[in-house]
Amino acid sequence: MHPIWSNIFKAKEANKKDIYSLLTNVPIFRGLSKGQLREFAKIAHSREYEAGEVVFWKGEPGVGMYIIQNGSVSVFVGDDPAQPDYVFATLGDGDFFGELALLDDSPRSASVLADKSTKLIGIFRPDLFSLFERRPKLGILVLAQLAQMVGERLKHTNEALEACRRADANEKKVM
Amino acid sequence: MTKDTENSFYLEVNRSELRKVLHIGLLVLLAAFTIWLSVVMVVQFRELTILFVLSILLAYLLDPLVGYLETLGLSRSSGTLIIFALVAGIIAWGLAVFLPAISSQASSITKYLQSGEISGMVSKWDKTLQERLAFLGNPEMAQNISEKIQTWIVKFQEGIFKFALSLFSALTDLVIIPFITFFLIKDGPAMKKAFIQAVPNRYFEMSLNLVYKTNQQLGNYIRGQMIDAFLVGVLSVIALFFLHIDYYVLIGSVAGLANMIPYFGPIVGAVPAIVVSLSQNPSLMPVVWIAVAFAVIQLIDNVFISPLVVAKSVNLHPLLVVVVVLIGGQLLGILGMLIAVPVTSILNVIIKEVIYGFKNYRILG
Repeated sequence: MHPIWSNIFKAKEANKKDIYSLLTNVPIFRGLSKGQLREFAKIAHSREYEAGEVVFWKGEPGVGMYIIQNGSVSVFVGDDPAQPDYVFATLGDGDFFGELALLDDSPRSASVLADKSTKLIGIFRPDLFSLFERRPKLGILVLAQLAQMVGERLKHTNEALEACRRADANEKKVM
Repeated sequence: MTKDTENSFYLEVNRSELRKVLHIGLLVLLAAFTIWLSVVMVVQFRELTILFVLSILLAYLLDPLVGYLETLGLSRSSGTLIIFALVAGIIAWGLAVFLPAISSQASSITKYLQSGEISGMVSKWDKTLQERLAFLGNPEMAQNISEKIQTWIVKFQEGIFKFALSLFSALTDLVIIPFITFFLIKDGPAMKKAFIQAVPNRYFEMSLNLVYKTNQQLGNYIRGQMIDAFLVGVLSVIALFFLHIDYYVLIGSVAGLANMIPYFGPIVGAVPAIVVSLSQNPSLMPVVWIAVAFAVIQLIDNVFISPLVVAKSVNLHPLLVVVVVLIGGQLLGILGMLIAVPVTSILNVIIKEVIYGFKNYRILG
C-alpha cells in the first residue's frame, strides 16, 4: 500500500481506537463489548472548537452529551464567557458533560466554553434513540447505566441537602 | 455613568444589534438562494430529479425493513441486500401475475381509442347535445361543447400514447432507481452524518434536530401515503370488478396511485373509469354507480385508512395544500403534484425549527 494511503487508514484506525477508549471511560458505556461500542462509535459526531468558543449556552434545549477527546472546557453561568458569574468545573481529556440531555430536551443547566482548541465527541438523543430502536438490548444496558448514574447523583444531592439542613439547624441552636 | 462610558455602551449595543440584523439578512438571503437554486435544478434536470425523487420514496419505504433486520443482528449492508432480494422476488412475482393483465388491458384500451368507435360515440353525443340544447336557440353553443369533448378525447389519447412511450424509458429507470435506492438505504445514515458534520458549530445542535425531525416526518408521510395508495388501489380494483368495468386492474391501479395527490387524486382516479364505462354502455346508471363506489372508497379512506396509516404530523391548511399541488403540477406535472405535499411539509418543519432555533438557541451571538 502507498504510504499516503496507509497513513490515512492508520489515522482513521487510530481515531476509531481513540473513540472506543473514550467511550469505555464513560460510566454509561461501561461493560459494553467492542461490537456494542462500535455501534456508538458509528453515531458519534466529532467536533472541533476553538479557544473561547461556546459549545452550548445555559437554557438552550439539550440534544446530547459530549466527551472531551482532547482539550479542556469550562462549565459556567453568566452572559459573558470572558467574565463568567461562576465557573462550576473545568473538564479535561476523557471527561464528559451534558449526559442528562440524552433523556429529554429540557434546557441546559449551565453553559460550556472551550478553554483552548478542543476536540469533542458528541452522542445525541435522536441518533441514540434510533439506535435503541434497532438494538433494544443495547438500549436497556445503556439506559440502566444512565438511570443508575442519575440515582447516585440524586443520592449525593440528598446527602448534601441533609448536611446543609443539619448545619442550618446547628447554627440556629447556637444562636 | 459618565458621558463617554454611556456613549461606548450605546455604541456596543448598536454594534451587536447591527450584527444580528446582518446575520438574519444573510441567513434569509442564503435561504432564498437555496430555494431558487433548488427550483432551477428541478426544472433544468427534470428527468434526474424524477429518478432521485422515486429512489428517495423507495428508500423511505424500505428503510424500516432494513432497520428491522438490523434489530435481528444483521449489518446494514447485508440487511439492505436481503431486502432488495426479497423486493426483487416480489416484483418478479407481481409482474408474472399482474403484468399480462395490465399490458393486455393497456393495449386493448389503446386499440379501442384508435378505432372509429369513439368518434362514432362522440358524434352520437354531438347529436344528442344539439337536440337537447336546441331550446337555448344557440346551435353554436352545442357545437362548442361537442368540440370541447372532441379535444378532451384527443388529449386523453395523446396522454395514453405518451404514457406508453414513457414505459420504455421506465425500463431504463428500473435499473437506475434500484441502484440509487440501494446506496441511499445502505449509506443513508453516513450521508446524514456527513451533512451534519459540515454544519458550523453554532448551528450544529439545531441542524441535528432539524434533520432528525424532517427525516422522521417525511418518512412517516411517504410510508403512510404508499400504504394508503395500495389499499385504495385494491379497493378500487375490487369495486370496478363488481361493476363489470373493463380494464379494472389498470384503472384501479391508476386510481390507487392518483390517490396520493390530495383533493385532485380521487377525481383523476374516477375519470378513466367513467370514460371506459361510457364507452361500454352510454347510459348514466353505471356512471352513477362508479361515482358512488369511488365516494364510498374515499369515505373508507378518509375515516379508516388515512387516520391510521398517514402521519398526522403533516398539518397543512387545506388551501395551502391545493395551492402547492397546483404549483407542483405546473413545475413537474403529475410528479410535482405527488411531491408537493411532502416538500411543503419539509419546508414547514424547517421553518418551524428555524423559528424555534432562533428563539431557543443563541445562534445570533
